[in-house]
Order: sequence, then C-alpha cells, then structure tokens
Amino acid sequence: MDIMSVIINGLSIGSIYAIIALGYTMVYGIAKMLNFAHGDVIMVGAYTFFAAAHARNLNGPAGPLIAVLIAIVLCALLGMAIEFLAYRSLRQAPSLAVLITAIGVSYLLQNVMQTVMSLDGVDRFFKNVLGVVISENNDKPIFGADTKMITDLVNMQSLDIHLSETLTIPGLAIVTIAVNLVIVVLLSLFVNYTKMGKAMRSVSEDRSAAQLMGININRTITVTFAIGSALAAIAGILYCAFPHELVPTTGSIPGIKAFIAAVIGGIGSIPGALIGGLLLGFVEQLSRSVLPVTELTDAVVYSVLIIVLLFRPTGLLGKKIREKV
Amino acid sequence: MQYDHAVIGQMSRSRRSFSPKARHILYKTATFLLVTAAFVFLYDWLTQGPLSGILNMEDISRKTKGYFVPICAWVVAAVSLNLVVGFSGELSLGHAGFMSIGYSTGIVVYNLLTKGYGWENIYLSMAVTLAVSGLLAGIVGFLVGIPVLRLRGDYLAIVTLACAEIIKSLLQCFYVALDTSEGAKLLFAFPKNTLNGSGITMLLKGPTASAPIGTKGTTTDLPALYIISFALVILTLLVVFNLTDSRTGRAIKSTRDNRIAAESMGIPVTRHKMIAFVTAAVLAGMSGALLANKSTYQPANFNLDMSIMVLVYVVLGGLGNVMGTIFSTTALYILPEELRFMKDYRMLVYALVLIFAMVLSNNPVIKRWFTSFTSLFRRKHSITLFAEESRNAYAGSKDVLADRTSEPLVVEEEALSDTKAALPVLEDRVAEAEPAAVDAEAGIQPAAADTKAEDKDIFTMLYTADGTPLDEESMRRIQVGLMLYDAYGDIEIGDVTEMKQRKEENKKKGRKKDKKSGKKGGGKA
Amino acid sequence: MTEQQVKKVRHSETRMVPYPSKAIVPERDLNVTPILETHHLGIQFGGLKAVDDVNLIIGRSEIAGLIGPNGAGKTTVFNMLTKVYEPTEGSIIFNGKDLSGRSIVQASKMGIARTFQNIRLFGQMTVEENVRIGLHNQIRYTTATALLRLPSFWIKEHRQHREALELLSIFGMENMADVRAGSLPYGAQRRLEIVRALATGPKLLLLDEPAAGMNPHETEELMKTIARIRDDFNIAILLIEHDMSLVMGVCEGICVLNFGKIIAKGTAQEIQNNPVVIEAYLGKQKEESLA
Repeated sequence: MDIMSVIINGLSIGSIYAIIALGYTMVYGIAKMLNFAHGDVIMVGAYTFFAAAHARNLNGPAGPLIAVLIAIVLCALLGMAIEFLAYRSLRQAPSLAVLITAIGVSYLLQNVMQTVMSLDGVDRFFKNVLGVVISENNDKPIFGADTKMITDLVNMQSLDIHLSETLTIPGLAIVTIAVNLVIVVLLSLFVNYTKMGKAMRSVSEDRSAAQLMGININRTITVTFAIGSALAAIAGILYCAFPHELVPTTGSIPGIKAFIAAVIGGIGSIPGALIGGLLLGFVEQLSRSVLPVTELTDAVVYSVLIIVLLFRPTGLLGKKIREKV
Repeated sequence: MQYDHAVIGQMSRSRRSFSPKARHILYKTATFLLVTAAFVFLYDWLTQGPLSGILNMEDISRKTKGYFVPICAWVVAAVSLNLVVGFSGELSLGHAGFMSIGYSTGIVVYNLLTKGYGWENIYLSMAVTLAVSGLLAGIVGFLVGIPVLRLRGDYLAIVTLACAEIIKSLLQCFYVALDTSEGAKLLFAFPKNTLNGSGITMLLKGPTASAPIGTKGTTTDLPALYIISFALVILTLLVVFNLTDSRTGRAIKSTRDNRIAAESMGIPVTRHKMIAFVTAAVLAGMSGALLANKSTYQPANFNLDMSIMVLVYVVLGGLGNVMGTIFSTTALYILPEELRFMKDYRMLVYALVLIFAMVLSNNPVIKRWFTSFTSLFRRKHSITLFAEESRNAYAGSKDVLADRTSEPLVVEEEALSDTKAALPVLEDRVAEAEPAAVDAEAGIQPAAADTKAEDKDIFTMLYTADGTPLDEESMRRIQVGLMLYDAYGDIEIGDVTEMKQRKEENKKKGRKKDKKSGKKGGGKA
Repeated sequence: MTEQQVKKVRHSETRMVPYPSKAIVPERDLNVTPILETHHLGIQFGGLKAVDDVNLIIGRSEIAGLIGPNGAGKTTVFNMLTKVYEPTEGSIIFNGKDLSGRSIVQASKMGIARTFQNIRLFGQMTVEENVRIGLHNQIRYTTATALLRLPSFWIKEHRQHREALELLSIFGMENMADVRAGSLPYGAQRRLEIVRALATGPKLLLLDEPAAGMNPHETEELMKTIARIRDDFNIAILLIEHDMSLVMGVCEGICVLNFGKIIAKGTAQEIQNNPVVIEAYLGKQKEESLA
C-alpha cells in the first residue's frame, strides 16, 4: 500500500465529492429538499464541457477554459430551470412527493442525454451549426450511450510535482484540491458576508420569518440552485478527468457518494460537506488499496455513514433538531 | 365565527351508502376476488382448460405466459414496500436489498433441495425455499432496522440506501457451490472465488449472474409456478391486511401520523416501525426468491434503480392502498413490454410520469379544478356538518339521522380556500330555489318542535341544545354551506353578507367569474 | 413515603389543598400517597433555566391547576412529567415511584396521560381509531393473534370498539366515530384528545389548555365534564389553563408559575387575591381582580 498515493488520490477524489456535496448541502439547507438530480447535473456539465471543448472555433490554449465557463453557465441555467419547472410548485408538498419528483428529474436528465440528445437531428445541429468535432471523420454521435473520455482535453501534466523519482503528485490532483479549497473559501465568504449569503442563511433557518423580513424567497432559492449546479459542472469535469468514463449514467454514483458525504458531515453545513467529502474520498481510496476485493470498497464506504449516524444522528457537524412539543 | 350548538343533519336524501367500516371490508374482499379471478383466468388460459374453451381463446402466447409469475413477485415486493412507506410512513430506498437476499437464498436453497437432496415435489421445494428466503431476508431486515429505525425522515431514507448498497457489495463477493459428489454439501467462498473441482455446480457466482431456478434438469413447471405465485400473493394480502387492521396496525399507523403522540400513548415507536420493516423485508425476500424462477439477475441489478422502481409502483398506486398498488404494478410492468417503442424510452416515460404525477397532484390550482370537476359526477354523500357541536344532540332528529347517516363527510378546513367560487353558486341557487325550499335572502323558517320526523327536511331539523330553533343567521350560513357542498363537493363556511361584499368588490375589479352551474336545485325539500 | 412523612410535608410548605367547602375532601386524599410529588424539579436548556425548583404535591383525586403567563414553563413541566424531557435537576415521584430515567412509553404505562397544547391527533385515522390507540395498552393481544385472526382477536377488538364508543359518549362524540380525525373542527379535536388520553386508563390526567378556543358556554360544559371525569374515573387531573373562569371554577388547588419558578400556591380564593400573582399577569400598575 502506497500511503502517499492513497493520500493524494483520497484528497483528490475527496475534493470532488466535497464540491458535489456542497451543492447538496446548500440546497437541503435552504430549500429543504434532497435534490436527487444533482448528481446528473454533474454529467451534463461534463458533456457540455466535452462538446464545447471540441468545438472547432474554440481551439487554442484558452479553448478548454472557455469550455469550462460554458459548462458552468449552462449548468447554472439548467439548475434554475429544474427548480422553476419541477420543484417550485412543490414547496408546500410533503417531502416524499418532492423526493420522487427529484428522482424523476434525475432519470429524465439521464435518459434525455441517452436518447433525445443522440437523435440524428440534434447531433447534426451540434456538429454542423456549433462546429463540434469529436473524432477524425466525426461520425459518432456526440452524446448518447457510448463512452467518452476527456483526459486528452484536461492535460495537466505540466503541473506535476515530482517529489522524488518514484513519487509524483499529478498536476490534476493539485488543481482539484486547489479548486476545492478556493470554492470552499469563496462560498464561506459569500454566505457570511454578502447580502445574498445572509439571505440564504436566514431562509435556511426560518423561511417564513425571512419572508416577513422582505427577503425574496424565490430569488434566494434560485440563486442557491444556480450556485449548486455551477459547482456540479466543475465537479463533473474534474471527475471525468480523474479519469472516469463519460456516459449518461456517470453522475449517479458520485452523486450518491457525495450525498452520503454531505450527510456524514452534517447536511446543511458547508464545512461539514468539506469534511464529509474528504473523509469519504480518503476512506474509499484506503479501502481500495487495502481490501482484497475492490467490490468490498463500497461496503466499507457506506458503512462509514451508518457508523457516523449511530453516534451523531445528524452528522458530524449537523445541528441537533429539537421537536417542539 | 359563532355557531349555535346544534347537530346538523344530513344534507341530501341520497341513496343509502355503506359505512366506512363496511366499505373497507368490501375493499379487502374485492382485492382478494380480483387476484383470484385473474389467477383463475390466466391459469385456465395457460392450461387450455374449460374456461378458455368457452371463451374460445387461442393458445396463450409465450410472452403473455411469462407475465404472471414476475408480476406476482413485483406485486408482493410493492405491497410490502407499501407497508413501510404507506402504513409506517418511512421512506425506504433499500427494498431491492432484501429482494436480492431472497433471490440469492432462493437459488441456493432450491438447488440444494432439488439437485442435492433430490426433492421432486415442486410445491414443497418452493414452499421451503420461500420460507427460508423470507426468513433470512427478515433477519437481515431486523439487523438493518436497528440502526435505521432510530433515525428520522430523510436520514432514514439515506441509510436504507446505504444498507442496500452494502448488501449488494457483499453479495458481489459471495460464492456458493453445490457439491454432489458425496451426498449434498454447500460450499462457500468469500470474498474471492476459491471453489473449484469437478462435481460441483456453481450456484452464486459473485458479481456475475446466477442461473435461475428451473432451467436445467427440471421440466417447465409453469402451471405449478402459477399456483405458487398466486399463493404467495394471497399470503401477502392476508399478512398485510391482517396486520394493518389490528391493534398492531393501528399502532404502526399512529407512529406515522404523530410520533410523540404515539409515544405518549404508551406505544413503543421503534418496535412498531421494526415490525412493519421486518415484515416487509420477509415479504420482499420471498418475492426475490420467486423472481429467481426464470429471471436472471446479478447482484448489481438489485440497485437503487430497482428500489426506486418499486417505490414508483407504490406511490402511483397510492400510499396505503393495496389494491391500487396491484394495479399500478401490473400496468407499469406490462406497458413497457407491450409497447415496443416504449422499451427504449421506458425510463424517460417513467421520469415524465413521475414528475407530472407529483406536480399535478400537489398543485393547489389543479386540485381545486379537479375537485370542482368531479363534483359534477360525484354521488351525493350524506354529510354531517359540524359547527361546535355540543353533546346535547337534539334527540328528536337523532333517530332520523341514525337511519340515514352514511359516510359523514366533515368539512376539511384546509379545503376551503376560495370564496370566489362560492358566489356564483349562491346566485344560481337563489334563482333556482324552489318555493318550499330555502331562500338565501329571507332566511328559513324552522319547523315547529312537534313536527313529525318524516315531514322535517334538513333545515328544519336544526335546533339548539335546549330545543329552541336556531337563529336565522346561523341557519343561513349552514344552508349556504350545504348548497355549496351540493355544487362542489366542497364547502365554504362563511358569512353570507361578507361573501356578498366580496362579490361586489370582485365585480368592480372586473374579474371573470367562473360560472359553474351545478345540478340539482338547492335545499332538498 | 410513609403516612407520617406525607403529613409532615403537607404541613410544612404551601401545597395544594382540597377545596375547603367539600367536607369530605380533606379526608379523601390526606391518608393516601399523593399521586404526584415533585421535589426541586427543574430543567436547563443551555444557559436558560426554563423551570426552576418546582415543588408540587397532587392528591389522588384532586383537580389541580397550573397557571401563569405565557412562557412561564407550564408545558415544560408537563413535558417533564411525561418524560418527553428529562429534568436536569430534582425528581418526580409518581404514585410512589421515581420517574427519573424512565421513557415516555414507561411513564404512560405507569399511568400518566396528557393532551397537547398544539393538538397532536392522528389526523389520518378516524376518531374511533384515535381512541383505540389510547386503549392499546389496556386491551391487548399479540401480533401473532392478529395475523392468524384467532378468536381472542375478535373478542378483544369488539371490546375495544365498545370501550371506545363508551369513552366518546362522555363528550357525546360517539356518532362521529368514523370521521377522519383531521377534519374535525377545532373544539371537537380538543375533546377527542381528552378522550384519547382517558382511554389509556391513567391515574393522573394532564390537560394542556383544554378550553383553548372555546366560548363561555362550552367552557362551562367542559368544567362540568372535567369534574365528572374525576368522579367517574377516580383520577387526579392537572390542568394548564389561561381561562380563569375554568381554573377558578373547577380547580381545588392552584399553582402559579412565572419565569419557571413557583410564585404562589393555594386555593382559588388565595390565588385571586395574591398581589404577586396579579402583578405577574397584569403588571404593577393594574390592580384588577382576576375573578
């Protein structure tokens, strides 16, 4: 077991989980719902990046960065659209109804990407109108069920740090961890010092009181979804660069794991999401290298959740909920 | 809002309908009859028996043959999940985990019995298989329940998900083989497959799919399987109905409705949630074992997607509604099979159905529209309108009430949202009012206290506790409410003067009145 | 506690006393172990002491009242008595047994029943089912019996049905037995809560603002019903109430709480004229009587 690589990989994938977990935790804390579809926004983000980065007129060194921006913006818009169309009318509905709707949205995203987006007409639109070229003769569909990889697009080897002959910290890992820390810091500053951030905090504490104070609930929740989805886009790109293959179902597993990470850290808490994500990533990588069979890794990872909840029923940094009697 | 003390009698002279208790018994009986009828019909069709001869039915197609057993299995799975979600009020996202255990156990036990011990009677073998699978799943359910059931709401859901994933993960490393060289022995290996040698048959092959029961070495026992599936469904119905309509069932339902209140009544909440949970796990295990006949699954198939699929069956069938679950499961199983194109787009359609079903059923505007629309077709129920009733019910009318009171439909205060709808009806009613009936403007004249019961119409049966007639104001309000119920199946309790005022204001604002013409004349005479 | 000790306690501090005009009452409860005693009962939430040093004694068939301005800690006392909260200091002796460390379910089985300030009915169940929940520990049979529909199932179910209807008839609600509890009007819901609590066969019934939302006529009915319940069931009742006519009319002993502490104890007469109590409710300026 190479402890260094376990740590590096652990922090790396853990950072990705943390970024996704932040989206879950913010939406849960503020809109009081579990956005099951969050994981699939990751997938959409990665696909958007993939398509954009392959666009003919985005060549050059700035190309990938612009593609990242496009992915972020598009996902933010997607998140806002989902909130408006599916969740807004269910604000007063029982949480089971909301959860089921979220599940519906999740499947919708997966299947649209698999079926609708790979339809001939749509594909040709992207290739001819938007100038997306993904291969030599460009005959394979851009979206759809077959696997894509984005490793060639996100080549960070120039940033590698060579600690010794045998030990290299991959540039991608550095970037991932750095991005995560930056996001957490920015988000904390945003939530604590800006007006919108304070609005978000007050809505998460007491929605009706916030409304009475004149805070626009709709706008606050929309912003929350936008931020969460934007983060999801970033996470999606980093996740696929890890590397993982990109298919319509790519987002579900990291989505579930990040969700579990958010709960471990205490859902509704931003530092909790960070801790939960890193912890989960580390445990996962550790198990993978230690256990005889890789399939058992999941068993260990999910057991962490149960163990944590046994001792701290609302997560590591979660708030204790006192029911008024 | 002040009402005098009175017990208000029923509204319309509708046909006698059943009491809620009777209706429930009817519901349960209908469920049993439905399942039995379906079985009899399909079995007969399968075996080309007398019934299909009479109905002149062709030989059953291979595809249709293959429906009954899986549908029964999914029905059992869905109804058992309904026990947890609908009756116990807890969201379980890990139901597939219990099915998975049942599936794997089923394969092992059945092969052991038939190939190992040489049992030939399929009924006996399946019965033992189902029992053992259910038992094992139940034990796992109990173990899972210990950490899970002390959590609340969303946390509980996540942990059930985690547990199902753990089960999946462990089963993927589980290898079982049957050694028939000297007698029958089961060989186990975990986590790596160390089993080899001739004379052994691999039963559970870790992550890869296991051979379903009944393919090699046994004849197609489809008719027997039909009977077994039917028996399992009937067993499930018996268990669920008998459990929920009992002291334990009520306790379970109370923990759903209000946890603290249940505890304060001396009901141990965790224990009762555990009862529901473990029972559901046992049934799910049995359904998994049933699925092992002819269906090929690998442990990875029993994942979140499957748990959600069963959850969808339950939600669309109605939480707490067993018959509804049977219908929704059957429909959602058959439809993708029958509609070819739907197979590719199946999940897409599921997704859209889910979203629309949830959004539409929880949208207040649509709810109101639906209520007013269906009131046109709704049978008139006898209603008992409550208005701060006192315990000194007026004795005279009581007998008449007892005679006719069927389902007392009491006003739900939350349902009364909009008075806008009330005003046009009031207008219509006033216009259509029969002379002997009520007149919203003038108020109504209550009958004298010695009027015979049969001669009293509803409005004359209103008296205060000490026998004096109600005052006009209260009568008017009550009568308005009843007329609105007549039109909408919904009630607005309010002040007539107030409503008229509001109507004036609305007129000024030039809002479009939704003119809804209800049917019968107001005020049954 | 021995009889001697009981008598000693009763004489050494201001305590609940039976209403003097009923001649038999002083004898009635003095020679029997009080149904409830709290000694220095208190609870602290973080830095806030919600209830501090509360000492109560309630006689076995006494109707007692717990009053005080809003936020005084009355419902918190109820929550401690029913073990929804665990007191951080002091002790509760119920029917001679110490309640510390017991769970809500245990407290209920020992004979404490309550209603809630914010109604907590089982909204999706019918009125009768709500009452039958109260009968859960009174008329029992096992789950196995239920599953197999053995004869004792049918017998006990019928008995529950009869009991439930009988209890509902106290308030004349037996004809609403099949109505969904959530759709009852407010007053009926409150009454159903009382019936449900009575169904548990308690020795002490805690009523949290039973007259809330009732008009004077109904309140009067309620007073009579409460007295009747005490007489018919032979139990003790402790009420929290803001409606002074009810409190003064039916309570034999009253305890006044303010900011978590007892500021006065005594009979209705004594309380009404107690300047500390008046001040607590009305402030220093006004001197209107509470009667």
